[in-house]
Amino acid sequence: MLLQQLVNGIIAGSVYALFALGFNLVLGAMNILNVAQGAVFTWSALVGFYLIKVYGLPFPLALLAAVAAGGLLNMLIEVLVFRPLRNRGGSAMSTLVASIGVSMILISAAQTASDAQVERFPFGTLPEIQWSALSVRLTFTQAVVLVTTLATMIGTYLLLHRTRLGKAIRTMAFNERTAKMLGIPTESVARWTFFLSGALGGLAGVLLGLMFSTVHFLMGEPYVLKGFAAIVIGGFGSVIGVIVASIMIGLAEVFSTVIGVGAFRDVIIFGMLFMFLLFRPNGLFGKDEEVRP
Amino acid sequence: MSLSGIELWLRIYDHTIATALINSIVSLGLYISLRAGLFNLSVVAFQALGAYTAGILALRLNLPTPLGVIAGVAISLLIGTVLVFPILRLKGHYLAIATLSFGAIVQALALNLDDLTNGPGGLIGVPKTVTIWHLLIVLIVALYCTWIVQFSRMGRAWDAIRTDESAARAMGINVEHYRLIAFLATTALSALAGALWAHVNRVIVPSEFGFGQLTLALVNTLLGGISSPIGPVLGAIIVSSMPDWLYKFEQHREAIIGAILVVVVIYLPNGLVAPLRAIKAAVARRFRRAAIGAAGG
Repeated sequence: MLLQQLVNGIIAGSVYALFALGFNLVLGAMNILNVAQGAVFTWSALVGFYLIKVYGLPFPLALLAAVAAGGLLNMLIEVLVFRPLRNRGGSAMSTLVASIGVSMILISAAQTASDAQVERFPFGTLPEIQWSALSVRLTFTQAVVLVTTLATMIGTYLLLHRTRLGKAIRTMAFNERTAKMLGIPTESVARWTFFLSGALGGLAGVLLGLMFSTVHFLMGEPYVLKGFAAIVIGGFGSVIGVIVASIMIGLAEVFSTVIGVGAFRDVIIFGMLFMFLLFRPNGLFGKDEEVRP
Repeated sequence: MSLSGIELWLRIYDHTIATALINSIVSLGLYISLRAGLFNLSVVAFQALGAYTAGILALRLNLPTPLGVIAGVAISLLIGTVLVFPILRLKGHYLAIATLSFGAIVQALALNLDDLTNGPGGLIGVPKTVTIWHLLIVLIVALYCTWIVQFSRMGRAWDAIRTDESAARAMGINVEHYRLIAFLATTALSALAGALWAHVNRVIVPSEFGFGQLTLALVNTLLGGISSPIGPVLGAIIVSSMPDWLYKFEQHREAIIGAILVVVVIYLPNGLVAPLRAIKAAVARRFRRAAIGAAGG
């Protein structure tokens, strides 16, 4: 029973990690806290759902399409909103406010598109198989979620640390002016950063919609706050830290339900966030001497 | 319009006007923090604290309204004083996240502390003792104080801190001191608005104090602009009266507000007050030229 909850918590937490990684990428490279990531998440889940339900696409294809849609949507936001704002010298505050505005537009559009219905992925989207060992039950859906998430995390890590694009993104995270002086095409790197972040958010959207079997227009909102908590607890800019923090959040949620205070799990998570801000403002894996921008 | 006509109009739009005035007070509170360069997103949380304190005291203990409102502000200030020290160590996005998550905690508590707050159903039947006139007086006093402070030493210190914190520090401005005052002023004004709202609306539900309300406060403040205290009030009045003149687009209200937010932030970073100022300056110039022309001719 306890072991089962542990597994459930880790799986939920690893999906949160996908979402938080997307957040962290844009925050690190561009210094933009993109609240609209939550709306991108919702839209990807909706796209995936409609492709499966209405057009009967097989799950892997629908997943790919939904992830691409999330990436493109986020890229569009960068081109239409954040780039003009940067060119006009907007502050950190104005980018956050603009992203809140974009988020409202997209969520309202999702409400209209889905007719405010709570949908669920049709039965048999993924085969109903489950394995048991050591009194732990793992459904096929959970296995798919776990494998996809792990593969994506490793892929993201490799992309950031082993490719030219990753190098460019990390240089921009260090300093945008320096990146420009080194001849990095910052505009196009920014676009790809947003694409990547949206794709990660979109993947999380489809996987969470599948795992909890609900898709609706407000599904992204709680994950935005959880993503914030994961970034702060994990330490700004640390990929490993964000993953560990997200899994901690997943476990905290599951176990607060186990010990019977499930109604207060948001209080527990944000209380944790507050404690970290108070006693360890650089997070789990942040460097001590780092001054936060 | 005859006097009875005005009375009828007031009765029809009573709730809209009251909402606009309450939102004006909240936006004025947010304005003070933004003015000091604090991206403080805890206004709605303190609004909720004020509203619940006033509502609970009025319903459970039958306390008179002024006492309940004062208690709401006092409790919020107490909690704000505890919070302000960890929060003010943070900057930029982190301050925003911390204050936002404080809001999430308050809303979750309001939803789940059933004995105290009656959960999702909310508090019902708070006596309606606050009228539009009370709100108007509070708003005018708050506006006057903000206006005076803006041209005082404190207002100039806030401007300096917002523009360049290191430079402000180098000039000998006590940055922590002035940021603390700005945070607590915001806390007090939002709690006051919340407590008054409890006695205007008669019903307090947790869902009213969520992310939506926060974005509304941000829209109000930024639409008006943070270069003058008139800005947030103007913004709050425009946005709060929107349901009445945009009733045909009711279901797209969120999208419209979002679009306004994006357009204002990109193309009107100083808010609606900036073009109004430009017009005023142009008119003044023309008059002056005409006067000089008349004097010369």
